[in-house]
Amino acid sequence: MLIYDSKSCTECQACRLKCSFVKETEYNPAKSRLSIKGKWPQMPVLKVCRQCQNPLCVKACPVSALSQEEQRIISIDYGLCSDCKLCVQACPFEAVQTCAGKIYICDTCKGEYPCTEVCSTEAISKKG
Amino acid sequence: MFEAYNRNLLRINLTDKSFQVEEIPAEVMDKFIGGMGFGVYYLTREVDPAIDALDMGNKLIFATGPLTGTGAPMFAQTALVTKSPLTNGIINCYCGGNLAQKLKSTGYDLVIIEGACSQLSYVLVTPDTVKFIPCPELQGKGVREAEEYISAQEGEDCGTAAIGLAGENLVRFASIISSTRVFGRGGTGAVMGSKNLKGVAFKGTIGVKVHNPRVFALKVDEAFAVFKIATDNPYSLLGVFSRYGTGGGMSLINERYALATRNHTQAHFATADKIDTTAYHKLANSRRIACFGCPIHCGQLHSFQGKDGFFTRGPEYETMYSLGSDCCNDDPLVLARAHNLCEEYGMDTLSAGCTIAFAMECYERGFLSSEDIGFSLDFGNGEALLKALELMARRQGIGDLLAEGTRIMAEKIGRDSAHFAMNSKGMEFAAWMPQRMSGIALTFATSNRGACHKRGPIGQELMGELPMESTEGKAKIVAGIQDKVNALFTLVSCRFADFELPIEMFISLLNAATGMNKDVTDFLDIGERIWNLERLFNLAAGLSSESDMLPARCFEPIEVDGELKSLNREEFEAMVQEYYQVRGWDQQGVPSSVTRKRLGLELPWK
Repeated sequence: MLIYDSKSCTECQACRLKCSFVKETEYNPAKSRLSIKGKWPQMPVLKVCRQCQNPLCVKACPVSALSQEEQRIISIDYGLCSDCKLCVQACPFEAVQTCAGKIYICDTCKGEYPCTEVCSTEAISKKG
Repeated sequence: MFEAYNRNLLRINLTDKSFQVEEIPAEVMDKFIGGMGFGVYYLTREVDPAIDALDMGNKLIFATGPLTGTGAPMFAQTALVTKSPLTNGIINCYCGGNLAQKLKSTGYDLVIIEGACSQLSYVLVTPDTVKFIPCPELQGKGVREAEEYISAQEGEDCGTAAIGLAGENLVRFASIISSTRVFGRGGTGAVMGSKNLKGVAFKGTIGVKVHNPRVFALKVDEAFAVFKIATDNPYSLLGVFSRYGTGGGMSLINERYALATRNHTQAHFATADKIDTTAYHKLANSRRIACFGCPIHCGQLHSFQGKDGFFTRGPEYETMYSLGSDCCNDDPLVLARAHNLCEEYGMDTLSAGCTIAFAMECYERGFLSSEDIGFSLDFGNGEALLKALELMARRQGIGDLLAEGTRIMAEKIGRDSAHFAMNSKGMEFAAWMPQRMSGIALTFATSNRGACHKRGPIGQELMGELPMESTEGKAKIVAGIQDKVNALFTLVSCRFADFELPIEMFISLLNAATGMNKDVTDFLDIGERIWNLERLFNLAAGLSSESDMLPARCFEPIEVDGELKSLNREEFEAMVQEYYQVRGWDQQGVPSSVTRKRLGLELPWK
């Protein structure tokens, strides 16, 4: 699981760059599986899949493109996905990311979370 | 074909609300790389050096580089090139934050803005189109409000930059602000104001693909490792910056008698500790903010509580000098408010503070009276400092004169005020003292931007790697730094990156990202080519070797820990001549035909 300390976060977005590079072989925060939004003086907020016990995104999907696998990780079958975005609306944590009509959900990179490797203040770190 | 580029530029014409996309020739990428290189290449080809900077024939060029938007750390800057209303020469200016990545995500590497809007407007750039949106309701509004308005209209995922009242009022050193970061120097905000352009917004989702992902990722990891070691060390410069921001070095600079104070008549500010970063950490709720992808996070955000509470970024070290020591202001709250005014009105804190310090001296000498000013403007008067900034941005009363900067002020005030109008080529001095550091003297004198500190041997002279006063060998050293930094600004690198990264690492990142095959010599040649092109533009704009002279105060003795020290005028002039020789310029500072040929410079103007 990803742990976030908003007080340490500098909003540099390096984690999102790393995520997009690992997953898409391109640097593109818009295709990252996590987002960090801040507006000083409010503290920044991390939005990323929390691997819910009863994932509402999966329930909301009308074409069964989403499923929950081992370790509660959400898997996306892009062949089935109809880009309806009902999962985006269903997620209470705003963790389903979208870019150019496509959805992106964090799969934890097998629990490795390479995004944490580039965090210079350890604002995001992996638990366990 | 080179990778990591969009390979396109966007040309926006504000007059007829049109736009067109043009391919960037591979030869331009090869000879100028990007960022500052692109900006200088296109501006010198397209803008007549002789025009007034506030004429609608001037252009604003926002440019990114091949490493913009990649995972390589410390390449978040946007380069902005235009003709400066402060110096009448070319200006290249940089802003961190996330603007560069947002610009590149629209599918362009640079945006050239031409003409002028018929009414106050902002432009929105997306991968598909450009929208010209009138915004008369933003007239006179602060930068923060303008950016919030644009974000509310166009979405939070926009990258925005805007001007405030100072830009609208054509204050000669008005800046352009993007969230917590600034295109500070040279009056780019006034150029934007002259175009009736309140703001720009970039919104896109296009990513960056590099030529060799495997090698590039390895080089990125290496760069992160270098910066990790640096920031883990609390005594390294980047270690200090990451903890305290750029203001963290203030006490050391003061101890070394290099903190310009009281309009550059003193090198030491007795109460400097009242306005350094640690003072802010006691007074405010503070936190660190980083530019896009940057592990140094040198930005400081402060929130002041209480009835008159406010929040602000910074102040940076240079502002602690200009609105602090140079005006003898040691009140941290006044400094924070003054800084906040500059951010809201969109004014360069350096020029604004240095100009007020000049006015304070004029007042104390009787060159400006209380009647001229409307109040007492003595050194250390915080209330007067804030009032002067207000009037400056509004161009009201004495503010109309202050808004012109020190060079024009001295021309108007006359007597011998030019003697202590601390500018070079019209640009006010950055925090450093030519009296103390001969390399800085040469840097301020010869920089194409004017008295700019970005390309000088500051660290080497301050920390004793180079003798501070001796002029020996400085010509070659300064020319070398100027070329190197220009080359780094093509990528577009943060100025602090080469404090730790060796030049080979920048070139490895560039080659792995683009597929280029550059070596150190090629890279530095590019920096030199850009430097000479800027110089030729400036000469055609009317600048000359006389513009490479410093105000007389720089040659007067200054007290350093009980001793009097000074910069010798003859030695300085000999150093300038040596510099011309190193550069391959004639005795009047004109690049020779041999030098132009060697660098492959063709001039579009006489």
